[in-house]
Amino acid sequence: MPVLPMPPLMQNAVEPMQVDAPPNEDNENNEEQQIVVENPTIDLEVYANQYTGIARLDRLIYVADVCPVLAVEALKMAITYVQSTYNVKVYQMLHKRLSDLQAASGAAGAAAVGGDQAAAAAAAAAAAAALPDIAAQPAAVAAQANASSAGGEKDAFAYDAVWVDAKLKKAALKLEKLDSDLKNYKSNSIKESIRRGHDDLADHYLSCGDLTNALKCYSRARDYCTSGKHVVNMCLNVIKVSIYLKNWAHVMSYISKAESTPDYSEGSKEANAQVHTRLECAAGLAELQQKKYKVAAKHFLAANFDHCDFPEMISTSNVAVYGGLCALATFDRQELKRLVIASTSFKLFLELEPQLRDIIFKFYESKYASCLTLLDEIRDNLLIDMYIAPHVSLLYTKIRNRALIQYFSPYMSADMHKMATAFNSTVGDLENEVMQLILDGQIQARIDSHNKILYAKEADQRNSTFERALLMGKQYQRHTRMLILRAAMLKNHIHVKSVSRESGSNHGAELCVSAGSSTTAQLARI
Amino acid sequence: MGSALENYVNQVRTLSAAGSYRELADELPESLSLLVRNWSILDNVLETLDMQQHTLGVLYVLLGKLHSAATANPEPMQIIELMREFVQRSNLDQLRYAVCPFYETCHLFTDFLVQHNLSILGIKVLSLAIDQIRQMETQLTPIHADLCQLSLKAKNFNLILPYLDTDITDISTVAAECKNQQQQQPQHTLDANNDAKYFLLYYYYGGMIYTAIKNYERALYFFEVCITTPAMAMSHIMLEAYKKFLMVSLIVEGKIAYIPKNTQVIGRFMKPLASHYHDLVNVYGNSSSEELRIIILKYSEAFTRDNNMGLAKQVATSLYKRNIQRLTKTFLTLSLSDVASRVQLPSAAEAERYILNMIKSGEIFASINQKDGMVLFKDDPEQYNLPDMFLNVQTNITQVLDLVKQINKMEEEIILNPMYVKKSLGSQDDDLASQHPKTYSGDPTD
Amino acid sequence: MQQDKYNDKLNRLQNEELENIAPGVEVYHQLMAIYLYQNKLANAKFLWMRIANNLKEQNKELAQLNLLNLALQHNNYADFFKHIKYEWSETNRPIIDDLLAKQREELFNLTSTAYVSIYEQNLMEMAQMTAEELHNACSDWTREQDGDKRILLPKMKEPTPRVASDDQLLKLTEFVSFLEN
Repeated sequence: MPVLPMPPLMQNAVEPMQVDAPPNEDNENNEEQQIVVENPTIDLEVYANQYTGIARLDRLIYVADVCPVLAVEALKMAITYVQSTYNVKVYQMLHKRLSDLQAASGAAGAAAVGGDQAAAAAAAAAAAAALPDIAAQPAAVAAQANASSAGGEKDAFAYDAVWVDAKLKKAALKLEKLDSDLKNYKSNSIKESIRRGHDDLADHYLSCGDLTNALKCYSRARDYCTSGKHVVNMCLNVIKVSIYLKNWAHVMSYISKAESTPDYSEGSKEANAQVHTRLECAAGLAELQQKKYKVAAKHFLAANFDHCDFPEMISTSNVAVYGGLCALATFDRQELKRLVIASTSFKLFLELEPQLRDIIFKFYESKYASCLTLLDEIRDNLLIDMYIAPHVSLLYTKIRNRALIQYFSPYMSADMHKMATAFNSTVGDLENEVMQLILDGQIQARIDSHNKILYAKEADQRNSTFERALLMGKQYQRHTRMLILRAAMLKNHIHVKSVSRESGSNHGAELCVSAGSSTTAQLARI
Repeated sequence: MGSALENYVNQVRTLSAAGSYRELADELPESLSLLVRNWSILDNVLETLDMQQHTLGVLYVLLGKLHSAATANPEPMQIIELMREFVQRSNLDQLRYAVCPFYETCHLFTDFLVQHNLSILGIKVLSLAIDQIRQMETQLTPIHADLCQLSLKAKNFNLILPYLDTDITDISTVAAECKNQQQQQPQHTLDANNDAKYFLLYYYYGGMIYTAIKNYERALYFFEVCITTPAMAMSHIMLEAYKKFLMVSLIVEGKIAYIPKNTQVIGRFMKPLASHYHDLVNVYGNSSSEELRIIILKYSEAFTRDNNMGLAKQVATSLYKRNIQRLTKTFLTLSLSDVASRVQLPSAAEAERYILNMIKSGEIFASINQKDGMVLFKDDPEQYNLPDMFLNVQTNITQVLDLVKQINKMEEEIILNPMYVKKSLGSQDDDLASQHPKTYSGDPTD
Repeated sequence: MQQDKYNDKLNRLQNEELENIAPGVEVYHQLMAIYLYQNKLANAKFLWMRIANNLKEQNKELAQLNLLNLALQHNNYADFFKHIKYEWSETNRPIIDDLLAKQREELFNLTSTAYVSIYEQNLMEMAQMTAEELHNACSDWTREQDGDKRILLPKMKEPTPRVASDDQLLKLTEFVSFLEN
């Protein structure tokens, strides 16, 4: 589970002196997200530079959402980056977020001072200010000071109204030009130009952050495609925007459209390698979001390292992490060996993520304790990743269960104390975990809770065959009886017709006995 | 005796003597209002008629008496005696010409008894009535619902159970009877839903009776029939049956049994009206008795209003039992206090009580060790190799084969039906084809 | 079958109840006793529900029968054996005696399957027997001392001998293949 301490911002929300503080936007995000990341160990700059365009913005904003420690830094990076685009809306939004955050943290600092004083006669703090009763005043002053100092530093990130106006004008001009160009092409009905016109227009919309219109324009280009290559290209564009829109069904359908384009399926593998890898990655992403982890793993594993270069969508280390985790969670031992560990192409991906590589190897070597420890270590870094974060806890559970199953598989009986040590857990927790696995039919065993031993249990085929046969017979009889009755119902036209409230046809049916109670009461008439 | 009534008696006597029962049956409905008007002297009319010879005439007098019961306020025992004598002595050949009035008489008789709190005395009478009028043992008549109602009201299920245990293969309806007799439907039964109403009531009451005697599987079957009856509108009987269906499902299967897809009515009308019950189902799915207890408490008013509180308690007990059964699948040994905490029972002693009862009723196989406070869970000792299990299997096989024969016979009938032949040669997707049993009996497991 | 012993009587009584406006209290007595003996607890429960209130209040023996009924409904052996000690009327006594014998036997059967070990005190409580009576009732059980308490280890009943048969399996296979087609 993600750590759930109150973020510093929220603690002050109750501080009386901050009534004028702007409402805390993070509140909303926390409600739906429930993820708060405490100690990520990534270098945000390096992380952000793996992506371009909307992908970079989205990811930075997500970091700001879930990770209070990195929020300011992430927002600033995003602001710097967004200034190279036409995306005025996001620019404004980012600024609002940033100033809110700074105001809040300013107040937070002040509050911390006040809080300290109130808390006790903490000597050091007391030195800075006077008596507790007038704490409010110095605190307020401190808040202002903080705010102004923040303001001073903010210069580089001050809200630039001039820039906004200029960008808005430029964007409008460009839109107009592209629009009229497109009209021109259309009147000349040169297919290729029209297609390009659409694409250009879409690119511009994308740069402005208008995803819906971008998607529309990219899709419109479809009617003007003159070669298979164009079709594939159109598909890739649509897929890109659909990923930004998180419309995974759309992504999947355009992937299959692209794959069924003759040009793609017939063309040489080499020429299409990049398209191929791009489609695999998009498919992996879409399947991952729909919780189909095994399929997702297979898609990511099919990516080719040398052709994996699309920073507007996904980074190579993403492929490694997403693919690796999904594989761990869903592959059996043989598959893990054959498709992941022995895969020469995936090896290159894994080299980017040495920690994950260790985890996979430890898992394969059945060193579960260290594997699980390592997994815990990278957890925070996974949680700031917008695509994998919602799936982390589910994937971790799956990996853990798989480990438990594999651990026990060769045994006839196992000491649960030893097992608990191997899984960094207590006997009690382990008992619960194993119980669930037994109930789900994933482990065939019984727990001897008295002696804390897990015994393997062979299913008795003959007995279960009998049991199943009798059950099947019973169901068949029930089914058939109902069928015969239904035939009689149809034959005799028994059905409830839709008539207005029947008048006075009460059957005197005003009673019923309910099981276990002797009360009688009114019962509805037909 | 008024002259009009004399005419009635004469008409009955003459036509009965001539054996013109059809004609008599056609003309008698017109005299009904006359009989009702003269309720005070109907006993005199009865004296002049013979139950055997003038069955139809007596039937209408009875009908008149029951129709006028509200004003006449007759002695209940006299009515009961009359009905008893009538069902014992009436002439079946004559009665066949007046099935609909006979049904109506039984319905009114039932209402009369319920009003006078004498339901128990009608049970035998109506069971005789059913035996007499139904054309085969597996035919359902509208009187079945009456018998169920009386049994419920009297809380006496000895006589009704054999009827409920019989699987229905044919249904006698007022609409069909009137068509056979080429009669007009009598005014008061013109109600288009009457046949469906008695059908639904039978399955609803039947489900309640089976629930009361804790035959939950059969109860579930009855409720399922009730809620899957073809419907264009929602009947309140179906709604109540649906609520009980949900609860009994939990007791029998621990989840909602499969509901056939042909019931849009459920999704559109009943689900929103039974939202408390759906909440209950969802909470049950979490397997937490504590949560279940809280939600039952929360909705106790609604459950009490629907008369389902007793059933709700049974649902709660079933969850304790189900959770204990889950333990037997995962543990070889477990301490009684662990059992209590895992299934959220208040104490180890309480857990021991549950376990002992479940061992007694064969729901689990275990033994308790009081010395160290542990339970040893065992496997079902059934090895499927004893003669009586073999017998059980064989009975099952025979039953299934019988059913198959029946289906084949029905199929044959339909194939030989000229209407069917004509239709199936014509358009493929007509509605009669859907009566073809084959369309349902695809996979026995579905 | 032992159960059939009272069937004729039961049928007669049930008919009597259905045909009389107010059956005598003896009818109810015997019906209740037979239902309890035959372990038809649902019937007993509903019988009690339909008995007129004035009868319930006035007739002591009927009330006593219902105490037995309740004890059995709740599987409470201690209560059952406590309440069965009563001066039963002549008509009821034979049935009650049978009922007592049957429940005793059932209790010991249940204990021997459901318990590996049980404290003597607990079983005495359940069966409402003195230590001596208990000793006679299950003389072949092992006794052990656990601290200052005596504990009983019931003797498991011999399982019925098993007959393996491939013939049955064959029949079953036919059945399944039939169902699947």
